[in-house]
Amino acid sequence: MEHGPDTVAVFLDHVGDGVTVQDPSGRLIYANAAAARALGFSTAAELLATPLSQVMERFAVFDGDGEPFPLDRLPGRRALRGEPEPAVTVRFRINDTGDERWSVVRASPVLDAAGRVRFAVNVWQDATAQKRTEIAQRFLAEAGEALSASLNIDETLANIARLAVPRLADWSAVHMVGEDGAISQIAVAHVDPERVSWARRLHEQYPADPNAEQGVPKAVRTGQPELIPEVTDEMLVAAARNPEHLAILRHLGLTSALVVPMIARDTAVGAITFIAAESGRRFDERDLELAQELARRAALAIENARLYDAERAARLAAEDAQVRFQTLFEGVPDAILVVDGGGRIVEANAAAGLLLGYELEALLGLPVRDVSCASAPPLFGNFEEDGERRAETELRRRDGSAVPVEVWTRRLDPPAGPIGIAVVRDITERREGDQIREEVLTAIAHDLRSPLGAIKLHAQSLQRSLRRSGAVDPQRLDDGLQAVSTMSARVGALLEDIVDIARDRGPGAVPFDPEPTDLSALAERCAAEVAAATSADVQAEVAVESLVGRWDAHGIERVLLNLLNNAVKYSPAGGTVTIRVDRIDDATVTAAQVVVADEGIGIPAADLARVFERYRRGRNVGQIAGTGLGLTGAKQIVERHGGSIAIASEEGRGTRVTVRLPLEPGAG
Amino acid sequence: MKQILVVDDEPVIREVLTALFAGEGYAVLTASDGLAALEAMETAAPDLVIADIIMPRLDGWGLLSRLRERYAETPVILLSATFRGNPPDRVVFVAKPFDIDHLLAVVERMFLA
Repeated sequence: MEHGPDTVAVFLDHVGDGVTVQDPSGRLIYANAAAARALGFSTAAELLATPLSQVMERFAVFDGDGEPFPLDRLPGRRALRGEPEPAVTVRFRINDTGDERWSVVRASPVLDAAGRVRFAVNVWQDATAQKRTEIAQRFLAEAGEALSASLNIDETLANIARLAVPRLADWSAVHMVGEDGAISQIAVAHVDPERVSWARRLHEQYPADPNAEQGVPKAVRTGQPELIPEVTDEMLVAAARNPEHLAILRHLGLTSALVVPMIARDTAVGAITFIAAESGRRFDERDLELAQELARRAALAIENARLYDAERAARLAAEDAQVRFQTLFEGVPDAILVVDGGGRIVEANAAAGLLLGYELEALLGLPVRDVSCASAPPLFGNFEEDGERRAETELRRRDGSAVPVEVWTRRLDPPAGPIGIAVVRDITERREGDQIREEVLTAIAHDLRSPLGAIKLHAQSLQRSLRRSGAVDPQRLDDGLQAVSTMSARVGALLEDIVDIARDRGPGAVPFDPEPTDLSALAERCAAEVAAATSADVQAEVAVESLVGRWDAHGIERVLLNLLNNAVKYSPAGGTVTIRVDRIDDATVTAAQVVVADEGIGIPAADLARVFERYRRGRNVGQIAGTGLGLTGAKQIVERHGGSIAIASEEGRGTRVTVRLPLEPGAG
Repeated sequence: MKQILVVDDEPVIREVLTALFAGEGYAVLTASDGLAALEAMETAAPDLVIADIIMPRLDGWGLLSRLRERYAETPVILLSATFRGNPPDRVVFVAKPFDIDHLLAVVERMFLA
């Protein structure tokens, strides 16, 4: 069967690939229907009737990288030149419609008998669908990389916007919905950085209206994408806020737009916008699909980044809380012990280690009974029933010694099982203080009883004589009243001590009135008074008959009486108490010196350093009553005069107290 | 004339008791502690000993046990703020601070017994 060229042409019109034939001048002498359509002509005849130069103006050709493709490198031209003619893949854009198509172009020369090129036959195989898929996949792969490259949301979104330009669009922007629902532009991209900053300013000037009926606000609100294949001037008029805005929008030369919401957990967290302008591109359903896939991945990345941020914030908060807790836990002066249901110490602070004499590591895991005293109430009462409890008990140190403590315990029920927490305070000092106060008050009560008893006895005795005989011997009356007076003074002094104890201050807190005072006379008088009151052997030795300085007579008298009474009191086996007054006048010092010495029990060397502390007494005082306030007060009074007091003692041999009071040179 | 030995380290107590008992027609001896009292017992034979408990050198309890060794029959009045248990034979506890009339009544009762 034979067919002419027309029959072949009919066949070729049914071929999907474009087929053209050029003569050696490059002119098209044949095109099938598919080729005409591909180049934007309705029929082959129309195409063939159009001069080549005009045909070429209708479209632009680009290579795979988007660069203009030189037409003389098309395989047909090469074939005509007798060059090798490898297939090329090119992108056409029809300038009128913005429609883009990809083609694989092949050509082969038709030679005459002499071997000259007569025709070049071009076959334009449409590769648009394949190419688009390829581009989309490459883009998505790169986007995936960009999305996973950073956990910083803003950085990630900026990467996405950059990736889309110029391959998918001329403009790309990413908007996010804030916690308050406000929409803000996070990233914007254009090939020209100047236009980017300009676009940012534009956005600041005309921020998105969240209620707008188009664009990002609508996509975010509805969760639906919006594809505008062709941007019309009516649309710009509708979107513009004012004439100036409209002028800007028109100037942009927008041709097509695509907005896709980013949806995470059923909520639109933002939107990606693609805009075509300079390229004249028109977005279609395939672009929409790609954009939606990109938005889906971006939403996932945002979700991940947010989860990461939240998790990181939670971790930092937990770390911060841990640090604060640890600081607090270690910073409190009280010991803290945490015990599990099995009675083992599971947590303890440094103070607990110090209190109990353990290294912290040794304390952890220890049964709480190992730090409890068998004789004292347990740290935790009935662990099963106890709520909050306060108690005083004793704990056992590592060395076996007991330490008195006040404890606050509480049972807690965290999910991991019940624990007991104990806040433990060492009350050794408080106990000592309480004990000392009790002893002091008992001593004072004892001291009060004697003079009060004596006053009562004298009064009753005199009264009895008076009733019996109607009169009292004047001498006896005088003696009795003198005794009552002396005893009353002693009671008064003791009451002052009680007030001092109650106010927790030393006896020195009395008026201070320096006046000319004769120390020798004062010493003699005090010695006589103490001798009379105690029947002890008290001797006064004064080196100078009169030694006058400016001192507070009442205070110094109190000091001397205290020292003398102490000397007598702590000489239960008797012995001589001496008070010696000297004037010291050497190169370095001019002073009055009083030394009170006894042959009593003395003070143990270990206690000597602390006898000037309030309530402190030697450990060898036995039953001898005393407040431990006397020396403290004496020291305060002496120091107030600018003087000094020193004590020397040997246990069992006696004590010697030396007081020095400043003396103006030439005085006395 | 009945003789009373007053033993107390407080001079005031010794003085006032001396005056009191003298006024009541008793002869009075004094001593400032337990040892001094035992010394006085060497040269005198008091009919009654009145002693404080808390005294230096030899206290009231020490004095009592020493007296019981050599002067078992001599009655003793012990003066103290606090007492534990019941007094032994021929011993009476008088609580301090005491009342003079009460003390004199105790003394008289002891001499009558």
